[in-house]
Parts: sequence; C-alpha cells; structure tokens
Amino acid sequence: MKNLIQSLLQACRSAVRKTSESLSLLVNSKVSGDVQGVTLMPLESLLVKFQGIQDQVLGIATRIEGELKGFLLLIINTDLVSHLLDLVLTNYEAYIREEDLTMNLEEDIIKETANVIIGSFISELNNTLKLSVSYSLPSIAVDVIAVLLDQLCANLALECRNVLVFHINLKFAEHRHSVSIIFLLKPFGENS
Amino acid sequence: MKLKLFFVPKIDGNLRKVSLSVGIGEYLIASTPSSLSTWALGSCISVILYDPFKKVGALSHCMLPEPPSPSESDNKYVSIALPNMIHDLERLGINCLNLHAAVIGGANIFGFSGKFDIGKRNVSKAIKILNEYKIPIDILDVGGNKGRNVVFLLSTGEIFVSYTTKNIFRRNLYGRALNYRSTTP
Repeated sequence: MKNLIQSLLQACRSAVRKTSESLSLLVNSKVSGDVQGVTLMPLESLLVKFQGIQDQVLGIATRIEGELKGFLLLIINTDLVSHLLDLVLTNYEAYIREEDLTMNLEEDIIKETANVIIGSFISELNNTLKLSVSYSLPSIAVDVIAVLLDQLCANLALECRNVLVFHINLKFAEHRHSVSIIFLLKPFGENS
Repeated sequence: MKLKLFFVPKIDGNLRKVSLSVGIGEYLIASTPSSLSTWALGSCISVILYDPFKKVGALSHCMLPEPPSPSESDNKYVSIALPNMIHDLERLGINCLNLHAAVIGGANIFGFSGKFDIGKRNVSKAIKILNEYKIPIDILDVGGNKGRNVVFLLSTGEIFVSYTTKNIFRRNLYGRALNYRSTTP
C-alpha cells in the first residue's frame, strides 16, 4: 500500500504540473501548483477537521470512477472567484455576445475552468499510472467546507471507513488566494 | 408542549459555547437546562427526540441510512442510532409514547441523483423508524441544497436552525458579467 501511495503521490505531482500549465493558458496568467501532502484518515476525522471553519466558499465536486474511486473537490475562495471571472471575461472578450452576459455565463465560466482543472488532472493521472479513470460532470455548490465534504464523505462511507486525502494547491500569480483541491480516494482493497 | 422550530441567521455565540456538541456518528441524551447542538449538517441528518413532560431529550448526527452488513453497530447509521436512542431514553424512565421528534438535515448539496442522494435516503429511513415506534414528527426541516447548524434547548423544546449559506451569498458571488457589461463600451 505504501508503494502505491508513493506512486500516486508522484502521479499527482505530475498531474498538478500539467493542470497548472493548462490553467495558465486558460486565464493567461501564471499558475503554479503543489501537492501539500497525502493522509490516510477515517472519513469522520476529515469532516471534524473542517467543522470549525465557517467561511463560505465555492465548491466544485466531481465523482472519480474506474480503477480509482473517489471524489475531487475544488475549493475556491470567493475573492478568487471574482478574480478568475475577471481574467476569463477579459481574455475572451471578443467571443462574448451581449446576450451571453447573464448569471449563467458566470457559472458556466466557473464550470469550464473546473473542467480544465479536473480534465488535465485526471488525464495526466491516467497517463502516468497507466490507469483507466473517468470523472462525472462537475457540480457546483456554495457552502462551508465541512458541509461540502459531508455529502462526498457520506457517499464514500457506503464503501469504506477510511479515505486517502491528497491536498493540492493551485496558486495564481498576483493573487493571495489559491484554488484548493481535495482529492479523496477510496483506499485500495478496502471494503466496509 | 411540542417541539418548536426557529430559523435564525446565525447561532448565538454564547449558546454555541454552552451547548453540548454532538459529533458525527454520535448521539447525546440530556435534560433541562442543558442544550444540545450539532454543526455542519450536509447530507447527514439530526434526529431530535424530546419528552416535553420530563424535559429530557436526545440529539443524533447520522451519516448513512443503514450499515452495509448486519454486524455493524456504529451510531453513524440512522437504523442503528435511532433505536439505540429510544432504548436509552426508555432505560432512563422515559415513556416512548411521550416522545416527540424532529428530523433536520439531509440536504443534497451537489444535486446528486439516485443512490448518491444520501440525504434523501437518511430522511426516509428516519421517518420509517419513527413511524414504527409511533413517535410523532413535529418538525421536518429536510432536503434543499444548504448545510445546517442546529441547537436544541431542552428547557423549552425550542430548536434553532441556521443555514450555513445564504441565497444572497450566491447571488452576490456572481455579478461580474453584469459589472463587465456596464464597464465595457
């Protein structure tokens, strides 16, 4: 198991590099990323860890299926949401029509940005580990982190007691906040 | 005196400090003048049981409707915690027929469907068990797509619920495109 986690960690580092490159291209601004660590912990402990944080954030979740099972949760601070929207709206100004300028456009931009992050990450993970992993369409929610994680942990709890948690940060140049990625994986070979 | 529900924008800081906090997969039984609380309910649910005559009650925080195998005995499952709570209350001299219930939580934060909508399954299981024990459900604040914090005062049977996010927050989060339109010639 230890070797597998090490391989996954290496693959995650490579995936984060690739993701940062793709995101830099999308927003036309330097994005750097790093994997802050990996932990194996009981699902309940993960929720307890975030229970005291009352700040509301934007969360984007996608289900990971195939040879790895779990969830990828992107957590974006609200200040950074505005910054991201500014970057994308400015870069793609020529393509935006008056009738596109609705609330949906902004949610679509966030979803598309999430798609770029998740797509690059999973694709590089597949390439590095020679795995077949797919992911669902991203879903957006605004809430405190513990609540966002609650539904994901409950779904994982149907199949396992512990979870492998990878903490990843994507940092935007000229902005103090970063996109946090919490990559939750069902531990290999564990059934409830 | 039945259970009473109040929606508040935020749980009072002092109340938060003095209340006995119930963690995930736990339940606590207490009597007046105590208060019980639980935080950040997403798809998890909290079932509150209350005897208004003796002012004794219990609050649970459950994650899943039922265990995958019958050998499990963890209180994170509604089907385990709820009968355990009722039996513990009975052991303390509470008559099950005097109990009133509240079911809170069970949101679908990310709008998952089918078997991934755990919140809906948690709520259904809790209602089924309460019906089996013939315990009236005074309060049903379930579903939606927002998290909840809950505080229960045993002296009065009052339940305070605050949502962990507000609709207005989501509306304010966006609005960039509209600003953009107004600043772009």
